[in-house]
Amino acid sequence: MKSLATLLGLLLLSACSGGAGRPPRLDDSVVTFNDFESGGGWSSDPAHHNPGLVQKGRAHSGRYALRVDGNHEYSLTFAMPLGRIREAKFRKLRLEAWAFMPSERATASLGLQLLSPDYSQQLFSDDIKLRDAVHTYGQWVPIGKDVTLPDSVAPGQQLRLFMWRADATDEVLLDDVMLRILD
Amino acid sequence: MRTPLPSAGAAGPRRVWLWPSLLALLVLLDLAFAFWRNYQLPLDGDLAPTVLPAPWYAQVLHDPFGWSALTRHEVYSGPNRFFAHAAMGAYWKLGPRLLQCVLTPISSLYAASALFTTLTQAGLLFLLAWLVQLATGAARAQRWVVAALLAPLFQTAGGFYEQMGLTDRAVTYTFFYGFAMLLLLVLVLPFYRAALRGQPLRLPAPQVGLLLGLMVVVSFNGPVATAAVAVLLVLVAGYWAWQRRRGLAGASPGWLAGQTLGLLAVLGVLSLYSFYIGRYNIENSHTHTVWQLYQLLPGGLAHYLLFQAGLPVLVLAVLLNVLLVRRRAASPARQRLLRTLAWVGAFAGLYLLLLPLGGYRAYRPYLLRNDTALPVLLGLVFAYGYSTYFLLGQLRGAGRKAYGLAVLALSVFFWQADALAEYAPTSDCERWSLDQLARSRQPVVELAGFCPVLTWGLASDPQQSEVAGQMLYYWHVTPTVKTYYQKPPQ
Repeated sequence: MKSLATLLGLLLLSACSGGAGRPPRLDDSVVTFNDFESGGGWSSDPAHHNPGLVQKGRAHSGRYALRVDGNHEYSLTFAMPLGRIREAKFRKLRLEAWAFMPSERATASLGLQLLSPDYSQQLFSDDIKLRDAVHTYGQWVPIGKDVTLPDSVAPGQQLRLFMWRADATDEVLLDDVMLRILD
Repeated sequence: MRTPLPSAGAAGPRRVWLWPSLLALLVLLDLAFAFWRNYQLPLDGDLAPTVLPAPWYAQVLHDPFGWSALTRHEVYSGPNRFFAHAAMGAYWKLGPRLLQCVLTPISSLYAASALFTTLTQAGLLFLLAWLVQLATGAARAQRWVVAALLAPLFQTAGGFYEQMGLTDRAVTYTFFYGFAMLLLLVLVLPFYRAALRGQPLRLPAPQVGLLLGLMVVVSFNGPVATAAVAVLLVLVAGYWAWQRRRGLAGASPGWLAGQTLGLLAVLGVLSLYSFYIGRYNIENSHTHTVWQLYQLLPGGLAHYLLFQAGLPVLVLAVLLNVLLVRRRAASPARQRLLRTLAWVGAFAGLYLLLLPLGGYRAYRPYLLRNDTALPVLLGLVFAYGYSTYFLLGQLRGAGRKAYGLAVLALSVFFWQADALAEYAPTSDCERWSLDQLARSRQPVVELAGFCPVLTWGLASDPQQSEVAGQMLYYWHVTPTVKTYYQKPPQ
């Protein structure tokens, strides 16, 4: 009985230790996962690089998080043609992240867009409005949404994922963003 | 003396069928896996032009026996390949549409491709198993045992496919090579039986008619079977000459007499004619001289033999089998096996020696590839099956157990190699592009340049997809005839 209690205790401890800080398992279904730890300071165009797009010091995991505020309307953006994400057609996605809203005045949305191959047309968009999704302020809160792309998705169409500040001036942070293919 | 496995003859009826039944299940599972693998493969760039046909493949269909090449020396695509073109056209015009009773138009194309390739694999496997069973004189059920020995050697799409694939990733090549060799094995079968019996063929007229018809098909079905026939006939002619010398000394004429000789003579004439009109194939337009091609042969052979581990392992296994067979006590069955293996070796050697005469293709810089080496590969697989089955039947006690384990290890080696799919191309990207094409309302559609779509390379211009566009309309993939183009991805 004693050993059973010890075993249960160990199991409980191990379950608790797998909490917020541990990176998720990155299998083939993961389009992208970013905790922004490796990206801080890196840029493909240093002359126009804006280091303020990544906030250092207050993150859900590690030290870096994504930021929008009064000076930054759009966050860093994930952009990739669908055919590069996966060779086989897919439509259903799961978007998850951790958001930090300082107060109820803050507002922002985590947006997902589908553009034509030449970027000239928006074919589809969906988002998570943080004001609707987050009701606890000053803390990191998990957010998530399932997104279904139109049946006409094609390999050359461009997927974009980014945060937009909307009309807010307060800083909004985002961390541990994951986009996963469901089907 | 015949050499069935001891368990086949010594036990009761239930036990006689136990192993063959289990192994039959294993072989069928292997074929089901092969179908699944083939179903994942993309369609090749010669499919649509051959099936439609494109203008450059049309003439051979109007002139089955290369009359214009013979009389007017016209040069065009595949003058001696009528039946391969016709069979492929017929299958692909009918097959996908029939499959559309249960599948979407896009899926029907991949299912038709997988079905043909897997049936060709099954045909080759069972014909080889049949030949081994005939040679050993084992019971019919033992064909499943032989088939289970040979099944792992079929590298479907991954593993050692590029070195020893007996069917091709590109279904067009399976029609022109694997299927052509399957028909040749069917043709060889009655002659092989006659040779085993040591008596000439005595077939009734309808069967002779069928055999003559099959000879015509094999002779005008592409270069690989014709080349294999030529090498076989050279060896048979040598054997016949040697036998006649022996006959003068008082020996019996054997199987090479009467009807057999007459039929082989017809096959020889047809092959010679096929070779002659094959010289007018427009694809022969390379600048290499025969001497240059012979200079390529040693390096090509070394590269082909060593660039993957599969073939060296198989060759070593056969050589090891030969050593073990030679250590067995002398018997007629052992003698027959060693003699047959010697003939297989002679066939492989002569085929490779004559290979440079077959010309040059830029996509085959080493001359040898799994497709051009197919007759040699089939000979090797047969030699492995025959010698392994013989040894499994002959060995006793600990030796038999050790040998059985070695055979099992070899099977696992080839099976696990084929099961690794990481290097095999997949059709996912092509399927998605076809889905986009089907949904588009435009007559000319820009497709992403991530993969070729029914072409060998990206279609940079809509004109390059005209033939594929017509076939996709015929297959009900698109509601109207469309063309497409692709830009290289950034």
